[in-house]
Amino acid sequence: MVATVHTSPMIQLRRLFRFFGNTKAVNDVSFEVLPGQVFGYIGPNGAGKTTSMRILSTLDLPDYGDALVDGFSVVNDPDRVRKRLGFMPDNFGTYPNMNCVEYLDFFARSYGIVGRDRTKALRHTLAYTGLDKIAEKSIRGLSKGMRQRLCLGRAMIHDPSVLILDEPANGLDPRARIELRHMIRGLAAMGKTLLVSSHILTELGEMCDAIGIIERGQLIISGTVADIKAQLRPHIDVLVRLIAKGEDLGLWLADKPGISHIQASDLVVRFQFASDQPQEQAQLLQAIVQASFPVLEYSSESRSLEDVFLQITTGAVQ
Amino acid sequence: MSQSSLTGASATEVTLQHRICEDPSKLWERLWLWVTDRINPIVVKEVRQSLKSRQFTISFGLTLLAAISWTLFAVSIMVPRIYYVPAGLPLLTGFFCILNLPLMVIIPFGAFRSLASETEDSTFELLSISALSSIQIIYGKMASAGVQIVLFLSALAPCIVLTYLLRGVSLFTILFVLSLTLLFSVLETALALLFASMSRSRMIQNLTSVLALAGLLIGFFAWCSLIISILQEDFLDQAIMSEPGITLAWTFAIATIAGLLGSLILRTASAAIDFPSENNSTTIRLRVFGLVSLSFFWAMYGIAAIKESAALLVLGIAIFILLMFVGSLVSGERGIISPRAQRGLPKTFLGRVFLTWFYPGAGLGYVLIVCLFGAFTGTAAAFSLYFGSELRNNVSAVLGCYLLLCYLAIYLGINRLIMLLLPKELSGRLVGSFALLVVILLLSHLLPLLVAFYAANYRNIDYTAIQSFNIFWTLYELDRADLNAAQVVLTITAIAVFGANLILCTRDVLLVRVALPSRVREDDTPVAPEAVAQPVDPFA
Repeated sequence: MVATVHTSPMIQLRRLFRFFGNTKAVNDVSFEVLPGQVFGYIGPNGAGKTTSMRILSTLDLPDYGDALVDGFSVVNDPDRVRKRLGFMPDNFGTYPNMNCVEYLDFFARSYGIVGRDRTKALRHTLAYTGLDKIAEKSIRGLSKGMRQRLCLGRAMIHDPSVLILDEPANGLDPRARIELRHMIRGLAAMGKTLLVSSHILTELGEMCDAIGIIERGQLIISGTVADIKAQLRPHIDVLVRLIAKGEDLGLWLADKPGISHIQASDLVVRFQFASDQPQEQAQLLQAIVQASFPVLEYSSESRSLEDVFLQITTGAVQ
Repeated sequence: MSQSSLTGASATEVTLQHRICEDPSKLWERLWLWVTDRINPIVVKEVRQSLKSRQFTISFGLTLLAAISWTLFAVSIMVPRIYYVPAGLPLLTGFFCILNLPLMVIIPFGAFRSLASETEDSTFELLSISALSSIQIIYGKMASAGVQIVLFLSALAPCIVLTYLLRGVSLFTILFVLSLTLLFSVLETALALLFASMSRSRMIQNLTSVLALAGLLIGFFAWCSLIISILQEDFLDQAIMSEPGITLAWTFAIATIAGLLGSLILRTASAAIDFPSENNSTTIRLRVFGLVSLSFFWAMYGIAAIKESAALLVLGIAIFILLMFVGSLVSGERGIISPRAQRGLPKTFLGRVFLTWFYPGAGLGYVLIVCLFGAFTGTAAAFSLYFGSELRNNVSAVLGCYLLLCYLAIYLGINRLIMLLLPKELSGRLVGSFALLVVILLLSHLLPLLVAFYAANYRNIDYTAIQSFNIFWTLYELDRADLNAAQVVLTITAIAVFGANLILCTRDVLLVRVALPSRVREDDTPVAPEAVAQPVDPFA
């Protein structure tokens, strides 16, 4: 139970390098995660996500650079980092001849939680992860989803201020994914800082406050989801269906500022609008209607996180 | 700070029925919780697992069955002599052989597998990022093995008491052999843990698993033979009757040396699994220093008592083997003093001169080990000068120790110089360094022999200066041949290798203490209690 009272970044990667032979698994990666933020760490397989997360979790050492958790270096103060950090690896181990509650009890003891504090932590963790119904079930008999919950429970049993989750939604069915998303948002609401990696980008888009995209060991871009979308493509695709006068609308739009790539037929007009702000879109629609164009349908589509990811990454592996 | 702590008030709202999650209501439950809270969590976990494991049930059951079968068999063949002839000795021999199997093989190998399987099952990483230190992990595994030892011992205790009642064996003999067996079992378990901790590579672990099992089986048979001979010869009773002081002193010497050796082995095992930036070297080196000093103390006591300096050479060889092994592991260190370790470097000039050698770094460790054996040799020489006329084989023992010092400086020095060329991040450096030393020893012994055989047309060869690097042959010729040439060759080579290593570790010697980071200082500073409003005295 470690209290954190200052407001500096909870996670900081400072020019982190990690080489495996000639492979630059992590190559000059720097970013920060603020307290209470959920940071999505995105990248193709072999991009360096797990390596950076393992360094942050004091399971590996960087060749150069440093990483700080709550201001403590993972290289020089791993003991202090571990008290503040819970790590959920993508493949986690279990002990034979143990059930869920014994497993959590062992890790609670390992974090030095004693007496009634431990019984309370166990009760709360089992309830929060939904494992209370199967507390006495052998771990070997658990489904993938339940194992993920157990692993999350293990990571949060000592009430850490930072949680690092490596591919937590991997292999889960849609319901389990939604439940996991709620759990992660719940942890963020408790004030915890989370670093989450995942391949399921739609999930990350919905639950992350900020994201970082890494490829071939290098961080390509980082920031809030909205900022990144705006930065990469500051316009939206608009489709307008009309009863008639589509070509006239095309000509009318050509004179307007911020409109480009107009494709007009008699009944359908497509164009790009240099803003994804709802107010500006509403004003544009109002102007079209006031210009007496018989609008049947107006739709705009902004880009998903997947589009952003595909645009930024090349898919190259090392 | 989290808005809702897991151990906070909200947790009490959750109603979950499970014995582990329930607050203890009865006194004994509260007491039990208090006790288990203070026990190493690994012990609690391993005991829980063992109680459910088939391996423990079967091995414990078979041991009990064997003990009962042996009792019935031995008693039935000794009837009716058993009523009037002392019959304890053969029964005791059998019980010790039965007890030796779990104590010498099953428990140490179980401890080895327990640590190795943490890597195989991917649980080691989860353990290593918990608040448990590497020392707690290793000592927890050791304590779990200790619990099993106690269980097996308690199962056979009535049988051993029976042998005393059947006469023919003294209480001192039973206790001595039992203590020695327990000590050896603990040492074997510690060694098994050390082997298991050496590498996390699956291939090397499989290899060490086979080697460990083979070693344990050899140890089992050797120990059984030793126990049988000790019990049959009956020299323990004779020794305690004729020279009780010396016998008890030797017993105490064995106990203290074995205890310190076991603690050194366990600390080395914990260092092997610890985070690389942690400073484990200082503790290990202090224990090596303590072990050598203690061994030397008891040797001096022994030599003064039996007036035989050959014991000095025997002890010198034992310490040489220990330091060669420790030195090979030291050479495998990454050779970097981490900023974390630099925080603990000595502050004063004198501290830096005398204590820097105890800090991490292969070069510093090498210098310490050579100096330690040098101090041993120097003290042995001074001791033999003092007692000169009273000791037998006086000169050759000191010369032997001096030659061993040269070998230590040469072989460990070369090993360290080669290890310097390998990448610092290479996995399995410790195992690699030990393997490299074995290769260096093999080559330095076999190549001169082959050259000599070739020069003599594959006929019989005599000892010449070319065989100077052959440790066994040189020590064998200590009192037979003229070793002047060998002394010169070894001295020059040792000085050259030691000098090269000393120059290469200059950087480590010049490192100075670094200050604690401000965040660590801030974390260590206790939070000042809020000012409590003092009650106002209405009459002031």
